[in-house]
Amino acid sequence: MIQPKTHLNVADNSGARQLMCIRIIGAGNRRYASIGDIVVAVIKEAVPNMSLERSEVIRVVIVRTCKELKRSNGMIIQYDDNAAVVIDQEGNPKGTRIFGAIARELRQLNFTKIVSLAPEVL
Amino acid sequence: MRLEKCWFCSSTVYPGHGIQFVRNDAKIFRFCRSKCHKNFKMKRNPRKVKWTKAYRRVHGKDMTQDSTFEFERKRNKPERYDRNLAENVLKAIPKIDKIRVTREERHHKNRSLLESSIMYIVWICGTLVSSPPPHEKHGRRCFAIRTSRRLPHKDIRPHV
Repeated sequence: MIQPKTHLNVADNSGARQLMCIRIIGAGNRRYASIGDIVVAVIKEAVPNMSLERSEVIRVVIVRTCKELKRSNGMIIQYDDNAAVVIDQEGNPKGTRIFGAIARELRQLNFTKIVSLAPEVL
Repeated sequence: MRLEKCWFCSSTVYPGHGIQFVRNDAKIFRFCRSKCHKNFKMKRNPRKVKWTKAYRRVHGKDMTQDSTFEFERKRNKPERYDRNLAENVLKAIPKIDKIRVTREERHHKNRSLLESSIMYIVWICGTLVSSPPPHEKHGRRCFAIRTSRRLPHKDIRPHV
């Protein structure tokens, strides 16, 4: 349940550390974003001397949420934090490594590169 | 489909039940119901919570080692489907369950025998090294002895 003002951890090595969600991409007045949704975010904290800087506005895809993800087979999964991966306009990740577990839903949503880089897909 | 064990109470989690929590180091904690999940969030140690299987095993209430547990161990190698194997396994499961249940009942019976015999020994030792008699403050003279005979009425008592 990510909404504007939500702080997100960054799950890759693109250079950003902490993001704040500004807007959810999708139909009109969408209230919350969950795993697999693309979100516009501003960088609140960045690793020094990398391509991404603080207060830059970028697009990210959400990969982990503290709010449970319900699957159609009845499984309910909950992660420990809210995390996102920085992407470009096509949907390819900007970083080269992904940290932490990723939800399997991203594969269906055509984020195959992220899924292939992930250390664990759950 | 897989039947998992609840991380907290060790009961089986059937499909469609419970919540899985994935920690940031990718360790998965499965819970059978919100009771176990809430206890986990409270950071309770299952080995100290009386109604869990972990507590019972640690404190010797349930048996810990038995050959019937070997059948239920998680094997990470998938088995190629073989109809005969599947049939034999399905036939064997209730038999193994029955054996395990009888062995557990025997364990419980032995445990209660052991505990009651310990209590008996403590009682005997307790009475040998007995506590002081109830009216000790007056010294030995007041050691009350109850007799079944009543003292005779004072008119009938012999004159002394």
